[in-house]
Amino acid sequence: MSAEFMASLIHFLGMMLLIASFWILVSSQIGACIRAYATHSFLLALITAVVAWSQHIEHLIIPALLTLALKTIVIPHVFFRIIRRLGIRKEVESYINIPFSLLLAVLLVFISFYATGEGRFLKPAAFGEFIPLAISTVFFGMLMMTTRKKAISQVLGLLLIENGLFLMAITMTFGMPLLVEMGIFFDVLIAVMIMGLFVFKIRDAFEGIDADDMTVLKG
Amino acid sequence: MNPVLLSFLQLLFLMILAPAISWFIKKMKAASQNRIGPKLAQVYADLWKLCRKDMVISETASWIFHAMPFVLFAATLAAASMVPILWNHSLFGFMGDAILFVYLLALGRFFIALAALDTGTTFGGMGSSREMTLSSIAEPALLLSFFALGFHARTLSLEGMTAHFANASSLQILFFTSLAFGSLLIVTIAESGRIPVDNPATHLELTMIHEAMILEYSGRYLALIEWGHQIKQLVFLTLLADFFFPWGIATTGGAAALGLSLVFYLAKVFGLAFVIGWIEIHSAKLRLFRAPDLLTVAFVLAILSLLGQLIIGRGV
Amino acid sequence: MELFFYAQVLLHCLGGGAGFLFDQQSESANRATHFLAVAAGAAGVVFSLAILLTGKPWIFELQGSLPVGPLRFVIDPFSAFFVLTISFLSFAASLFAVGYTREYQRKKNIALLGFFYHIFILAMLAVVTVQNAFYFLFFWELMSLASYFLVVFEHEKPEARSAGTLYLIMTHIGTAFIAAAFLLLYVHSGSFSFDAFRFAAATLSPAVKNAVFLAALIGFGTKAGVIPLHIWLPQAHPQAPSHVSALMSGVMIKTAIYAFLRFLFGFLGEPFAWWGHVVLALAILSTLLGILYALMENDLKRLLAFSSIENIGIILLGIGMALVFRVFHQPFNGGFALMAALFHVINHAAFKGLLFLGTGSVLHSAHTRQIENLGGLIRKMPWTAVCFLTGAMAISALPPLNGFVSEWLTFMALLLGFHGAGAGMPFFSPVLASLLGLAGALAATCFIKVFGISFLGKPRSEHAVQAREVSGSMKLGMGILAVSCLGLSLAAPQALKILAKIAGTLAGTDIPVETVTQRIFLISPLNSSLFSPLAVALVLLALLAVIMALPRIIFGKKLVRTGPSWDCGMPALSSRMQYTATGFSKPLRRIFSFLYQPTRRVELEDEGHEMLRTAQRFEARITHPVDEWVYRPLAALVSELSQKAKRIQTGHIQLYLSYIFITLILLLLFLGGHSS
Repeated sequence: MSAEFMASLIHFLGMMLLIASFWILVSSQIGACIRAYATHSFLLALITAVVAWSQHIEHLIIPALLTLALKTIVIPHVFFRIIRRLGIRKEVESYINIPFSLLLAVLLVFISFYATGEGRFLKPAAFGEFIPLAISTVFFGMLMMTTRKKAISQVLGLLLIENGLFLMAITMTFGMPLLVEMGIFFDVLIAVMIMGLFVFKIRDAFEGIDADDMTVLKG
Repeated sequence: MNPVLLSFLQLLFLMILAPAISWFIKKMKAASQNRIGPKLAQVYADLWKLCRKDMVISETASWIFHAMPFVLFAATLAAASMVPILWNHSLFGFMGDAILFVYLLALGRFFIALAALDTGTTFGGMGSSREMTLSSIAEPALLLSFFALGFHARTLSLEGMTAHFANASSLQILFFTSLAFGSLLIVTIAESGRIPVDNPATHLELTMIHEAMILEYSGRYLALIEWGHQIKQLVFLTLLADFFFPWGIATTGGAAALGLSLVFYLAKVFGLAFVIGWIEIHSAKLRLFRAPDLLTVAFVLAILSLLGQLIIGRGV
Repeated sequence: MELFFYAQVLLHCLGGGAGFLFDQQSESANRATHFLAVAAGAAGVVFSLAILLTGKPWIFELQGSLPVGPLRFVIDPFSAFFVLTISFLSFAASLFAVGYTREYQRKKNIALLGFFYHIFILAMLAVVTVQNAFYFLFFWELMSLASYFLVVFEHEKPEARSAGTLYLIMTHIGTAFIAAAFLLLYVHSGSFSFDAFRFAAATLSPAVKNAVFLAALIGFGTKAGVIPLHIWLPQAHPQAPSHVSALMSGVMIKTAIYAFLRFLFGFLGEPFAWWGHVVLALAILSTLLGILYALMENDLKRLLAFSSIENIGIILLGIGMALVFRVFHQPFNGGFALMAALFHVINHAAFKGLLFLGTGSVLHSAHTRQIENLGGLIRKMPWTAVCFLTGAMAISALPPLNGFVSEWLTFMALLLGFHGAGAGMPFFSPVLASLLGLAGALAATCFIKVFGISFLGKPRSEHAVQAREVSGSMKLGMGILAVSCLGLSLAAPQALKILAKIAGTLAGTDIPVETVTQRIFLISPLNSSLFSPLAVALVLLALLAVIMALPRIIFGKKLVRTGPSWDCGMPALSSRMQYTATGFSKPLRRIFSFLYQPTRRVELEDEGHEMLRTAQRFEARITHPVDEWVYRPLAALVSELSQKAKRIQTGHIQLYLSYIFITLILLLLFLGGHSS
């Protein structure tokens, strides 16, 4: 396997990752959204593994496996359980319609490309072209968190942001120290658990998980 | 054979084949519903019969109504004449590029939408409004997928792009142009008025778009419109075949190459028609205000295709 | 050659006064003033064509004891191109005006209208030729004021007065910025002459350059109607008499483009990368928002004004790309982008002028601008309908008319960004191009609405029933422009030869003619595409002929019966059952609801029970985000500040005098402090 082939493979996976990000945004069913997130994470794990293999950084295999286990299997599973328990079957509710959020997303990709062009921002180690991809993933997560109504979508948005940051770390510096990474994974897991609890609590308190209901909490 | 004559013959062939594609999809649908469906000769007989019938024309109609079928057919045919079909050249491919192709179709659409408003009925206005709404959103997607393909081929001429893809080998780059395929496929469905965007087999006021526009037409005019519509559908399928399944297209005018090309071409367009028919059978018509979602997906796919090529191009 | 120039100026001067020789409200005043304008326009066309074809600039200088240097006019090919645009459109519009102004006879002072009309055209001509910043500002102001008086010509209407006031305010804000830009250059170069500006361009410091660029962008952007500075345009343009609206939309806003190009490619030296990006961003914003708001309008002239904003956006797309290429030292590509922009300038003048004149005809004979009250005009006004349809097709960028040619060139200019235009551009430029395609498709939708609802179907009101075809001069005025829409397309290769020289001079390179056009073909750089308007027209014509002839030969003559439209079995289909303009644009209003923020109000009245309904009122409106979010708070702020400033205004004359006194003392102190 030549290095060139590896690089193309990583680029290919990066594109797929972006497509998966768009998929999360366009999904109008909450289930599809979670499945798209699982795919997104799976691709991330693959990228990590390929980077580990091609650059001979063996310790990256561990985060790759953790990503695979946690984000592609455990977290989606937790989500599906929450959905089942809450009995949500409805469509994802958004403040803006799908074409507009897609166009916004394209605009965000635009911005992330513009802002990071020509090494204007951070000198990359190897895969400089991944910086805009990672940043747009982060942007997408923020877009989801700001435009979606249901609390569950906001949790997904947060996870998407985390994926973006992880991608940035992997492709630019070949991962953070193992200990830090383990800590982050643990944090994410705990965050999902806590937010899951919150979603339940919000449901109990307001009889719905519409985050809009929380506007009544202000003084 | 004389290249001009050959190009002319292939255009003629496309015109004659066009109703057969519609028949094929109808037959598929019928088979899925346990019906027998029409015979192949039926679609041609329909057109023949329509041509011979007298016409009833609304008294409100002006010359726009009379001119429309001809302008629509001429514009569609002009667009069709730019597309390579059996071999690498087309009759009038020299006169312009993919952008001209898109705008020639827009010319036909402009007139059909005007003629719909000409008779002063609600149906016409409704169809016209819906058609223009959807095509406004489909057009940028169509253009962008052409640009994505043109970026790869370094040209926007339809002949040049076909020639480029016929020689392309790298599977990897083909993958990203295949995102453009998705985009172009969605636009094809929208442009040929098929489920899930429009339902060609209904006269129900809530759902019809294309049929609403031509409700007042009869006789020879209707035949021209229907045939033109079928040609447009086949032209889009031909483009899909040219760009994404470029195998077997003849580069010379020799009889053997052309014969092979004919077999390949038929397989490709019927295969693509099968895909369209399969989608039509397996999906429900989208609500009018859901259709833009689908078209936006086409737009985003084209953007991703472009982006993919750029990233690959910039890569290590 | 110069004879024609003198003739043009003289005829305009004569024409301005001619009306006053006769009864000021009479037919003779109308004829005298407008026929002189026609003659002046014709002379201008001949003169500018001569300059363009020979390529030799012509200089005219008035020496004398003028305070800021000689009054110098230089008509180089670039200026001549704009002179041509102005003269040609004023030629057709004046011809139209002969018939159109009959409307005002015995009601308004036609001599006065003619006076301002001639001054307006003359000032525009001076703006695009004068070579001195001081005189430029003078003529610029003259142009603005003359057009202001034309906007408020029907001053008995309150909306004309308020539109005029808004126009006056906005145009003066713009002029202030332009003056600031010129003054900055003056401080640097020590002279008001354009040559001095050009000479000193290389030594400008980056900070001054940026400041001048921004001031010019705001100043000329206001005149050109770039979003978000467009607010006056859709209000002021519709209020003027239609032939003046045609000139305002067709050429007046282009003078801003002219001056902006002079700044960018003359006075500012090497540009910075962000300039091009800012221009592109404003351009695409204007293009999309302009057409989206045009789509929602039901007032013919307001709709056309919004679509002018769109077209200014398209022109700016070309200019933005030219700037980008200039930064990356690709003068050839930059020149090509400029050619696209310039060609769209004259094309837009032709079809927008045509559409405004067509609207004028409709207004003249049906006395309404509301699309909802028209309908069926194609039967009553066949000539106007054909002309209007030509304009509508051209503006929708349909082949084989001229709108498509310049849009194709703009597409090509944008797609050139694939190669060597800096990071991001390979990605941005095709997306921008596809958004231009979106704008084109929306424009088609918009003009199908306009033409379909107002000319086709059944008359929707008594006004439309009463409509009659307009007089010969009006038909001729429109006809000339309609023919030019086709002519400019077929003659595009010849036009490009001239434009190549102009754009080459601006971009500072030599554009070999054979690289952009060969015989009947237009060629995009890098040889990626060819296009021939003539071939398209011929192929379409041939196909049309064959298709019309063949069925007749094979099946014989068709038998046609006429009957009523399909009415679903319900007798008496009335004109009120037709689709309305509002209904036509409803789907798009819903899809772009995030932009329009549509609101609707339904009022129902009944007699105690919902089944006994007596009246039902429905109101739907959309919001204009720029007005809502920028200008409303700004207006509130200004009025608040004025309220505060009111405190020093007590009404005692002594106090006012003491203000002057104190100011004088302070100034003296300031000066004294400086000199010591």
